[in-house]
Amino acid sequence: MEFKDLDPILHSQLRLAVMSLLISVKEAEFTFIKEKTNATAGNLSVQINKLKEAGYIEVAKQFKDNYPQTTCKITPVGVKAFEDYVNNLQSYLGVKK
Amino acid sequence: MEENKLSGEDSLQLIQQMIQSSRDEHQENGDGWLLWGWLLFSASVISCIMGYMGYGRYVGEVWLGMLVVGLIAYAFNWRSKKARTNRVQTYMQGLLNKIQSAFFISLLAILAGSYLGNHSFSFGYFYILYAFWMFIHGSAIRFKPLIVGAWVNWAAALGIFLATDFRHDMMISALAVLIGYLIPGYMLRSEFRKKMQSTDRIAA
Repeated sequence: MEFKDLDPILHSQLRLAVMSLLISVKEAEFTFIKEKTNATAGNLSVQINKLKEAGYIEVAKQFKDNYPQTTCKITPVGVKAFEDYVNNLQSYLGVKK
Repeated sequence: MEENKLSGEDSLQLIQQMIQSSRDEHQENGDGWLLWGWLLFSASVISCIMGYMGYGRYVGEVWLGMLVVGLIAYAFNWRSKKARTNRVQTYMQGLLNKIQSAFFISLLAILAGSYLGNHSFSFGYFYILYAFWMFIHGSAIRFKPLIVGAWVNWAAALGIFLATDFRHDMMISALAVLIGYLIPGYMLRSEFRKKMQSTDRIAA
């Protein structure tokens, strides 16, 4: 089955995992996302950057107790994109709502 | 996580798995319930004993002292929570924190209102408020002992309104705190420790 209409930004394993994590929390640290997705720091950084460029997430970098801390938060655009993605996926799969 | 080609089923499964995983992040060690529970329990028992020994007129000071200790401990806890590095902030935790703040503000409003307005005060109002907090909190974290505790506290509030002897109020109060706060608090702590141990085992 082809998924031509599915958002290509979200239809990637790691980016979808990041968005699924962020949809249910207020905000999460990079280390938390890395642990939950089992991704490497480098790959995760690249994918987070893609989501940020698409306007789906906000990334805040700050220092806490002299350590760099990167926090990610889903944006309203990201929430809408995620909802559309799930709706499209459900209609492709014929899932009844 | 490898970048494999995703099928529709894989996508849905991944979404569910990640959402579940972030839901599991909400953890409570029961410390707040135990601290508040022991303070209330001690104040109730001491008040009851004082009542029987003929020092009932000093009971107000006992409860005032308990409230001061409780508020200081709450402030310390709030500061340490703020300082602690939370890797994730859930919507539920945010909401529960707001409800907790609302509880303490309501508690102070009842006290201030009855003191300033010179109205007759009943401990029953406290227990209605506690029950309200526990019911919402227990439902949110799906922890039945707290919900049961809430019903016990509502029943205790009625008992306190009906009781005419202050010493009986204090006995009901101690019992309500024991069942409503302390037992669920220790159960939460035990669950938290078990969870931490299993997480450590997985990490090792």
